[in-house]
Amino acid sequence: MKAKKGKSGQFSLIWASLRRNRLALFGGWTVVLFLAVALLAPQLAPKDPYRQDLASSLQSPNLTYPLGTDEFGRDILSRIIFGARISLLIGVVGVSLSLLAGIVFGMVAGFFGGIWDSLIMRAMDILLSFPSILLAIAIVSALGPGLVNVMFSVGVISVPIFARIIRGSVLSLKEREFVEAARSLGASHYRIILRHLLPNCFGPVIVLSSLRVATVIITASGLSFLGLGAQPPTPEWGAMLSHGRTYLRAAPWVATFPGLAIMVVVFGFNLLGDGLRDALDPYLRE
Amino acid sequence: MRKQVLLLALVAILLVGLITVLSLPTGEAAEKGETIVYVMGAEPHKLDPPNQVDNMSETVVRHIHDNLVMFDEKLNRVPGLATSWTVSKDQLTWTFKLRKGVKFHDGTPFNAAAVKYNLDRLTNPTKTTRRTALYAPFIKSVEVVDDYTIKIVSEKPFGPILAHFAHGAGGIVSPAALEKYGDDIALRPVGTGPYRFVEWVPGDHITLERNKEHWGGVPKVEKIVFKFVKEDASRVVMLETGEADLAIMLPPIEIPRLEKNPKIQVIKTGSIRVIYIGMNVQKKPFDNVKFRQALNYAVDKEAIVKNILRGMGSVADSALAPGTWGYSPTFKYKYDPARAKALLKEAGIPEGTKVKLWTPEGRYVADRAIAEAVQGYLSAIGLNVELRKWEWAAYLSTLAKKPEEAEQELFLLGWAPSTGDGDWVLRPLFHTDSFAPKVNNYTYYSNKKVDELIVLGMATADQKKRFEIYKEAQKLIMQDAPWVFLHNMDQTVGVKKGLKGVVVSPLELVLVRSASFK
Amino acid sequence: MLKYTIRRLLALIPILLGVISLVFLMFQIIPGDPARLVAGEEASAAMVAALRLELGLEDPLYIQYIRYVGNVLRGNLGRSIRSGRPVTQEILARYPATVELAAASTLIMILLGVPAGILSATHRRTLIDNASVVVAIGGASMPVFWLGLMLMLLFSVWLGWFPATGKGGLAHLVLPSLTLGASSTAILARLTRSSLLEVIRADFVRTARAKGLPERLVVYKHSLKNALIPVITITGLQFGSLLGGAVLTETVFAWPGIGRLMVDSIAMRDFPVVQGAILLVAATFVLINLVVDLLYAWVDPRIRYG
Repeated sequence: MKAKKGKSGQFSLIWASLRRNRLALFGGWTVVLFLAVALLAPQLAPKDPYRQDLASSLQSPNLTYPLGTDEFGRDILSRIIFGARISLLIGVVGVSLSLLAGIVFGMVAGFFGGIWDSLIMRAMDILLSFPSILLAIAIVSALGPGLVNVMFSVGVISVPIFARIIRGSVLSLKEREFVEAARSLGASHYRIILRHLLPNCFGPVIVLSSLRVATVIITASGLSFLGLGAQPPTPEWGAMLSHGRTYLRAAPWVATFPGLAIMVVVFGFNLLGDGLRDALDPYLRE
Repeated sequence: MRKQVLLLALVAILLVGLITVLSLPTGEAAEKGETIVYVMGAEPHKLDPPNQVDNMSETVVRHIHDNLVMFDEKLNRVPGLATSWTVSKDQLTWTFKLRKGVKFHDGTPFNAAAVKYNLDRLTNPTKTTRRTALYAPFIKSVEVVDDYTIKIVSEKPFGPILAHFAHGAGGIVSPAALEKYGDDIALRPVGTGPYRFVEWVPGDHITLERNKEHWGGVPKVEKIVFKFVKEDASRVVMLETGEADLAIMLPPIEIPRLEKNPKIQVIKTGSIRVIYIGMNVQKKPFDNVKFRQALNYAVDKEAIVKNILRGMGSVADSALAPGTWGYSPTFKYKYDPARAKALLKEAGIPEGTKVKLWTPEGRYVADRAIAEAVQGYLSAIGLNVELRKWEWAAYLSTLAKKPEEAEQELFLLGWAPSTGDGDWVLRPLFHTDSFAPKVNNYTYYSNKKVDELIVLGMATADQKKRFEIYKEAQKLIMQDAPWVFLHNMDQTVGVKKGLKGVVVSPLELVLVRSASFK
Repeated sequence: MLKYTIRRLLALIPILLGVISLVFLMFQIIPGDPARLVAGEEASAAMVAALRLELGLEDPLYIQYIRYVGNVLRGNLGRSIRSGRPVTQEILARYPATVELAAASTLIMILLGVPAGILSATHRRTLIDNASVVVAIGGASMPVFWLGLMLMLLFSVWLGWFPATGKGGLAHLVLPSLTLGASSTAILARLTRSSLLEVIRADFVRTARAKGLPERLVVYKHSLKNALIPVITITGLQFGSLLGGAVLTETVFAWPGIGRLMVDSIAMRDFPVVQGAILLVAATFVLINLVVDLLYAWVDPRIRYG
């Protein structure tokens, strides 16, 4: 990654490249669209997502229920709309958690080096050598199923990945002239990290974040499949999909629509991340 | 160059590795022929009769072992390894005549000494089995009268004695094999049953092969392969593709489609499992019987059975399911939200009162979904219900607390007495001495009259009298409403057309001991 | 190089100790009592207490820890609480299935991912590129268990091409390995693409082009082999993580692998089995990482390890 001092110049370069990448743009707009749905959920949802009516359970899509109803007679469309909040929250909060922890660990390890580096990176190696879904399962088992615990556990599994990437960037930046210059001018560690190192890690971090949001949403749905996901009756997409799989044959709409919602949003984040990576890579920028 | 070589080598290694692994013998019967592929939802834990406590283990165990007294399809007690039995006038001494000419799978002869060896093991106070509690309390001594007669002496009359001998834990194990393998007998069981153990590939399957010398006649099918498939949808698919000859625990929603499939026959029967929502009656406001009754009126059980269980159950009208010995119907709290609201008012419970509702997921058919529906109904009468789904292990240990430490308010559970006898519902679930954590009374329900009836029933050997005693107890419990009485679970088994003689026991056991392909 | 290898192998020890300690700690935090679970729902408190004693769960924590580490050093992983079977047997019964599935998925990943990546790179910004992106990333965007169930419905129930579940011949392997390989295929395709694009712009390729070599030759002869280095790395790493078991795929297809064993054992609080399985998985992961690094150095002599 080329770290340039003229950040605004870099941004416009990235933007220019991103704009020409139609798929990435599509991904970006998908994400924006779902964010909007999440924000406006109460305005958009035609019905109460929690209201049950067993008498109208498992209705196929019709005029009153555009995407049909689930086994409790709840409106699937409204649940998907409200679910956008939950699933995006899991993605964003989960990744923010790991990003924060990753920044702290990566910065300390990379900047101070020595014993700090060995200690932190060994700990990260240990976490990394666990199969990630298993780690998430263990954490949720310890804390109990529930939305907050799911966010926490999917957050933890990404920490070593962020820590590694940030440490790597810091190591290569540390020796660069502008950091040296700041150091010789007597800037504090704190200032160097905050003003010089952190902003220049932005590139790889933003790419990874976008891709990890996708992974995290998928992992959360896997936890739901194993009975360790969000608490009922939360309209979390992963839970809707995995509960709906019971009806995969008899009432396919119950699982299919939440599944598609996950797929589209994850697809969006993946495309966006992928496009950003291209845009940030001077070789690929074109 | 190096890079191409490397890539080629990598692909080659993977290919070779794959081919090697694939060509390894899989241990599976290659020819399908006379094999029943039996698909269950979980892997058995242990195949040692008195040390198994899960249904899957018991299912396999009951193909390998015989009991002195056995259950038939309707839970009648019929002769097994004992051909007849008598009880003394004082109800204290039981004499069993044993079947002659029976051999264990390892060639050890079956006789009174073998029975004594097994019963001693079941009552040994120093090295207890998981099921010692079923036998130790009533067996004082076991006496070999002659080679084929055995006498069992109790201290007090014990009503459900025959049910305890017919229990899965009462399977008679080869004494020679027990001596030889010790605790490892659970991994390589040896009994007298119609099928002998062949192999157990952990995580995949257990294979049994027929015991041609079985006293009940030569089993018709050569082999049984039990496969463990956790995912419901996958079990259904296996049935449809013909990979399975028999699959248990089918999701209710799939039944109508499977019934239309000409290659499949669906067997539906009742079970002795009652599903209920327990209430912690020591905790306010659940200590108020009106409140408890209100909750019972608030939930539309019929709708739950119809829409969520798709008819695979019946609304409970007692704490005992109809298949249980001693069951008598009492009454139902008919769905009546207006009455529920009125009762709430009478009980002085304000609208918006917070209650906690707990449920496991994946333990009983549609458990979480049922709890979700109940939450809906209770919200509809103005309660503020916080639903919490638990992981099973954590759920069990959280429920098993002393009354003063207990956190539960409403909790979904199911109970199926493994003896098939009403005593094993009433005593552990409703007797004051059974308060959790000691036994399973998680509601901390306590009613002196009920306690007396339970004790009396246990000590009554006259089965008619015992029935009347339990009838009274069931009525009292229903009135006191320590549960939201939900439903009795039905069992669903999918069988390949042409497979005959599948026995579906209300004990939630599906047995193919004498099954055959037409 | 040898020194480096030895140092890396030695680093395995603290990692494994860390793994043991972490799992140990985890089981202190996780609520639920293995004795209560294996004793069964109908068990009395006295029964549970006796079982706890028998299983050594009443001993002080440090004793349990020391005993466990001591046993592991002597090669004894203990016995499963659930089945009473030695943990080594429990694990070894499942590991071949896991290796088989991991190898098959990796193969699928290479066979589909690399060509897709190459096509994407050589036809950059065309329909082919976009289509390959959509297919690759689309497949990776489906929750695994859903993808698995849909594949099963399509290929087993409706088309009847492949058996739905279990381990057996090649046919049994198709659906689970496709399901498991989907997301790695996408990763590999994307990586091949960007790696190739990077190399195509590199100086030596420009030289080759300037010399007037045909484009195809430039791509395949000069670019590809250099672009493959990161591809090999990722392949190795993915293989390593697939060897950690695939809980969701294994559940859907009733595949008797190690992932399912670990999850079931966590649910049963079968601590010795979880410990043993995670130890094996972690050790495999670290070792494969090491092999990948060494291969990397061998392929690219510019990289040297001190």
